[in-house]
Amino acid sequence: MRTAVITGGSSGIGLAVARELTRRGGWNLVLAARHEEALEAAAAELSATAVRCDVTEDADVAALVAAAQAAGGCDLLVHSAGAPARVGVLDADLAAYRRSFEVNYIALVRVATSFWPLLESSRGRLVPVISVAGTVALAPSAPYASAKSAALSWARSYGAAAREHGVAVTIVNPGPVPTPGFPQGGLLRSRWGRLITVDAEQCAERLLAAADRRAIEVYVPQWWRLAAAFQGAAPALTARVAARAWRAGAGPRATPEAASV
Amino acid sequence: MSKPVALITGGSSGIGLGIARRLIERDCHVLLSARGRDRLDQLVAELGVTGVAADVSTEDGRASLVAEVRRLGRLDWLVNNAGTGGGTAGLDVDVERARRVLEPNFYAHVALTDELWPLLCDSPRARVIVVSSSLGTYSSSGSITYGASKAALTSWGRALAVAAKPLGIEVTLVNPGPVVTTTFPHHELLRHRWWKKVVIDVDRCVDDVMRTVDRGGGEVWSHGLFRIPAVVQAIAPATFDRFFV
Repeated sequence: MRTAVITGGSSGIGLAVARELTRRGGWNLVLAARHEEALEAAAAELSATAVRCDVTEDADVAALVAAAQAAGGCDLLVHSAGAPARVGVLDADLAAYRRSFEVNYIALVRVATSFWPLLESSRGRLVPVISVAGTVALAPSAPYASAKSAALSWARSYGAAAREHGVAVTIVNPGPVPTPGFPQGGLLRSRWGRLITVDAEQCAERLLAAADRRAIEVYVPQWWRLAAAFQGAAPALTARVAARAWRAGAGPRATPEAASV
Repeated sequence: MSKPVALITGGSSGIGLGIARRLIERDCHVLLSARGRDRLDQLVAELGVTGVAADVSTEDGRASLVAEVRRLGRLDWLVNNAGTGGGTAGLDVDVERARRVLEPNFYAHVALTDELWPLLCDSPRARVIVVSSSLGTYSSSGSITYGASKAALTSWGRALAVAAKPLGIEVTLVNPGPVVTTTFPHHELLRHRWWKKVVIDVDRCVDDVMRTVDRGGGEVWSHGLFRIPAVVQAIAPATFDRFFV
């Protein structure tokens, strides 16, 4: 049996990955999440080890590493914990930026570096779930997009170094995926919106397929990669279009719900 | 009518000082902020600017800068330029280092802009310049936490440009590749056969910045070739790793 650790494992993409691994069989699962109730339900459903864990806390992540060690190590680490920050670039105060950076960027650094010894000894795989927002600037959700940009930049650099030690790092950048943390209500109701969204189950399948072939970076759906390329080639235009599209789609019509991951 | 006021953080050297010299030529009242008082005093004597010794990565430092700007009663140019190098390489990284570099390279820009925004909105023609890095647009394993802080800054600067435009405030985002400054002397690159061709001096970088500012804002790379890596990294990450990292 190999062991997989999944942060943000009680809902959304994390939970879908856990279910997919259970369906495949041969995996010990360690699920980490903040909300005890959802976590216990997921762990019971999948006979997984549940670890209540706030990824912004050193002690919680240390306890998660210890739990993984007790469960047999770590062959696959999927870091999908994160939280939205739907507030405009000029409306957010410094505290809002700090909160988003702690949960969307620093937590990735903490989880990845804390699990490094386990991953290195198993020559395992690390899958940071970041976001298309890490590649495209988003004025209406700037604390989120700038934090995800930092996370993506960090993960790309860290991945290049980690691969030299036999640890595969596969970055997954989902487009809008309807999850409890990201309801994406408006997008799902529009015809075009359905083309650029996937559900959590499809996302989980793509994620694991990419990790299996040790891909470096994938987008779900794939052609979000074009958005990243456009951001590089025509940055100002892309940022303008992204802001407009966001307002028309995921923005005001989505339920403003608290993060559940 | 009083002269336009310009605030330049990290203004005692490099690109910040270069921009300061141009704004003095344009008859602005220039406020230079930097951490080192000696160098600042020297520039105050030489250029007739106002110097504020302040560390913008601290709340106190920002408060003293904001107080000084408020005393002058207006702000027309905000040049967010201060930043630190000191990237860590490879796997030599931890949470504290990742956080520490965010203070000067990201949070300071966000906080200062937030606090000075009302004054910029009152200006008849306000301009904001954000100096990030080409490493904000693509990643290399040589500068892991630095690159992340600049990626955040570039994303924020682009968002700021979108939000500021309808308010009549023009934002210019600068993504310099290698520019020879005291912080980044680039001795090694200058000895390299190919790299030396894309290393430029401060004067040329500042020329490009002012040209873009005068066009109404936008993005500047110190050398046009530095637009390419971001596109390659997006489309073909494996190829990118082979050639650029």
